[in-house]
Amino acid sequence: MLKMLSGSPLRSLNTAYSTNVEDKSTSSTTHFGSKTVLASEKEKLVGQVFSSVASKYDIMNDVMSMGVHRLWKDEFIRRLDAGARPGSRPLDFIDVAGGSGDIAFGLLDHAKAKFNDTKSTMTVVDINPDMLREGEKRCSENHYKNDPRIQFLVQNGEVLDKIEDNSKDVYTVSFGIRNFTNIQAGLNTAYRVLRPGGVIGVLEFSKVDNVIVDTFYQNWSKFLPIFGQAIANDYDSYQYLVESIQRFPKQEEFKGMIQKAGFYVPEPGYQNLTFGIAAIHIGIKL
Amino acid sequence: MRTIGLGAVPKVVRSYHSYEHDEDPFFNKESPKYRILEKAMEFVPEYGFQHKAILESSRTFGYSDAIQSLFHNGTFDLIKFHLVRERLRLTEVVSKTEEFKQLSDENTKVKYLVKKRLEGNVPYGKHITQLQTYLVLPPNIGEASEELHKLSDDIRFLSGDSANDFAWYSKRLSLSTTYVALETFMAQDKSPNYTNTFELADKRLSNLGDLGQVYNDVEEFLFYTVNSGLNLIKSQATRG
Repeated sequence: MLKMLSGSPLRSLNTAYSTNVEDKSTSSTTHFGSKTVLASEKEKLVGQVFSSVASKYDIMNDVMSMGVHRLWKDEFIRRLDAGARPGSRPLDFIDVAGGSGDIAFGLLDHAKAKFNDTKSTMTVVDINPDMLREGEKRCSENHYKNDPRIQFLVQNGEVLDKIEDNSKDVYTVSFGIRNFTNIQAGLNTAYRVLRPGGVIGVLEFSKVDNVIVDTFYQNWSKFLPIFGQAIANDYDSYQYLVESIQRFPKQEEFKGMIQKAGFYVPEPGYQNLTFGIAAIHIGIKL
Repeated sequence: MRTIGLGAVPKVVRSYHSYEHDEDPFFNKESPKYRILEKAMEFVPEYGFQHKAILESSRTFGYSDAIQSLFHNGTFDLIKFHLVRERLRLTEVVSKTEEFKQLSDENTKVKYLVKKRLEGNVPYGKHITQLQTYLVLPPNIGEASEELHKLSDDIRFLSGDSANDFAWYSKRLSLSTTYVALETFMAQDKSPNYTNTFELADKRLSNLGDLGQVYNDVEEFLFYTVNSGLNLIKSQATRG
């Protein structure tokens, strides 16, 4: 659908499914960017966005965040400091919405470098087969080529129906959870699949706490769809990304959601990155 | 300071001490972090102040090793836990020990509390050198000196210090230096039950009380000298 629209970049996505919006009196609705859509539709719409951006995902991230997303991801991995310590069984990682694989590879690299851990396993799941293929492609090109520890699975993060209860030690989701139709369900599922003592780490766009930076940031956001058009020939998908960032709950609110899922959130609750443009949230299943 | 007023001047005694230092939020006895660290302290005599102690502790709770993400400062989390816990224990000593209430003057009280604090190190005696090494590492030294200051501040305050002039600083500073010296001695002390350390503490702390006065005297002398020096220059200058 988005591909069809790409010839007329300024047309709003809204037209494509306006009938659904009118239908909201009969079914539950959710946000798709700044629009209200049927909950059942969001998954499909987000799917289209990511199918559309998959191949240009990385370069766009670099453009959108001016390269800073790499630092955020590094900080995220350092902060989690995950890996099997000497004398322990290997850990089981799961990276949700991790299609591009950078967090997954980063976590394993960190575990090896810091704890000499070459046994822990990694499951990369993504709801979007196109994004996942992108990750698999990268995996086949880097030092994890043919590494049996890494597996890729198409899974809906809200359900994770192929992941057993209490089977994972570290659950990460980076810049993915805001695309969930039901974020709380996603967090509850994370709680389900983690073992006691397991950690959930969420890296996500958040709310800027500095007025000046915020003004700059808001204006910068307005250009992102234009970059999207220029680089990936896709205006609407990037429009959606910007709006979904603005829709995402504030740090405190999201912290509350993690607690609601049953996690213990250690003080101070979250860590802002670059004035809160992004934030790291950590929760522990006890 | 003078208070201008017709009625009885209320005697305002304000000690310059924050009653509740902002404690780290993890220093909440209910928090899982506290429980794991508390248990980890039991492993310290064996493993030293090492991340291994935290690891063993969390394993006894049956937690996955992934929980180590909680302790991203690693060893320093454990050390800080020890420092804060032992410092807060002093407040309990003051409120609960009859022996302390019998003590008369400030100096005896300081001595008593410093010794109590050193006693807190006894179970971890052979790891004190390691602990001190961690504390002076560049990433930790800021927080470490802050914690040291809080310790001397607490000891001074609990002993009834009411200084509100320059002596406030000198008293705390001198106590901090003495405390570090004593701890360093303790790290090398091979005598049974660290008797040598406690004897040294007695000696070193006996004349500590005078220090505040010494500093004030020096300050007054310097002020006088500078002032009269200035006056001398002025008088020479005006003679033209």
